[in-house]
Parts: sequence; C-alpha cells; structure tokens
Amino acid sequence: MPGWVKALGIAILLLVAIVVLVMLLSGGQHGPGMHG
Amino acid sequence: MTMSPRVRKAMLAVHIAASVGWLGAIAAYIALNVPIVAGADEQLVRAAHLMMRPVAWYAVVPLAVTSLVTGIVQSLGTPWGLFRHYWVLISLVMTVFATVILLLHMGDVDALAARAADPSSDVGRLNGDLFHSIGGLVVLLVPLVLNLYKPRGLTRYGWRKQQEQRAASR
Repeated sequence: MPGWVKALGIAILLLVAIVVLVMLLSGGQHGPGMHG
Repeated sequence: MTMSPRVRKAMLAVHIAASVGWLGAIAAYIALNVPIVAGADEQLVRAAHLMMRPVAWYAVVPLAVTSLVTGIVQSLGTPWGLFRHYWVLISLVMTVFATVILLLHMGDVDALAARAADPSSDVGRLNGDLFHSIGGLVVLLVPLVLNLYKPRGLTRYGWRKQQEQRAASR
C-alpha cells in the first residue's frame, strides 16, 4: 500500500475521532431527526 | 468496455461540470447559513431555512447523483477501472459516502424548512445546518485533489489485472 494512502487513512481517522469527540462533548446533538 | 475518445471526453465534461457544480451548490447552501449564524432578524432566518430546501433538492442532490454516476461510468469506460487504482477507489468511497449521508439528511432539511414555514414555531430552534454542509465540502475536497493529482498506487486487484494483461500481451 502506498505511503500516501496510509497518511490519508490516518488523517481521516483523526478527523473522524475529533468529530465524534466534539459531538460527545457537546451532548451528541446530531443525527437524522434531530431537527424534527 | 472502453469508451471511444469522443464519448470519453463528453462524459468527462459532464463529470467535471457535475462535480464542480456539486461543490458550488454546497457553497450556496453554506452561504444560506451565514445570516443564521450571524444572528439575523427572524424573517431572514426563516427565509434562509426555507431556501435551503430547494437548493438541496434541486441543486445539491441532482449534481451529487450525476457526479457519482458519471464518475463510475468514466472509470469503467477507461483503462483506469473502478478498483484498480487507490486514487479511483478512495474517490469512489468518499463520493458514495457523501451521497448516502446527503440523501439520509434530506429528511432533516425538509423538517427544518417545514418548521421555518410555521409562523408559530420558535425561531430560536432554527439553528441552520452548517455541520453537514461544511462536512460535505471537506469530504468532497479529497476526491477533487485525488482526481487532479492521480497519485500512483495499484490495489491488489489492479496489480493482478496488470499482470494478466502483461502475460496476455506476451
């Protein structure tokens, strides 16, 4: 697997982890139906 | 099946137009969120939420589907293939992910517009929709960069196919 694929994978995983962390810290106000 | 150069170019033109248009439509959607975040008056906040619905349904969704379909056709109709190169495979996964999330989120867009249209509803609960639109923009920048630079790297399947083609041409 090329190095750029590994780097991109790590960057995406970090980004997803940050988003999940922010959502958890902000009370999880996210997901389908939250505006309903 | 490989497309003729003329068909390939026409398909590429449609794919680029749809993909760039998709990003532009998201930019317009984000722009509708600016007055909401900036704390504009009630009428403007309601109007912005109402306008998000047609922008999403008549610009973002059709352009997303067109971009996805033409991208798949483009890959299958050229020697690039759909699963042979990492940059094509990652672009496909990101585009499918963005399209699925978009379609799942459309119910929320409809709900927000319905709430904004109801004059008795609490305007304080109309908070815009920045999270998904900025997220979508960030996700789509990955295929954009990959499609421009086309970084090297064959998948296992691509490597196997290449070996088969080399063996067949000997």
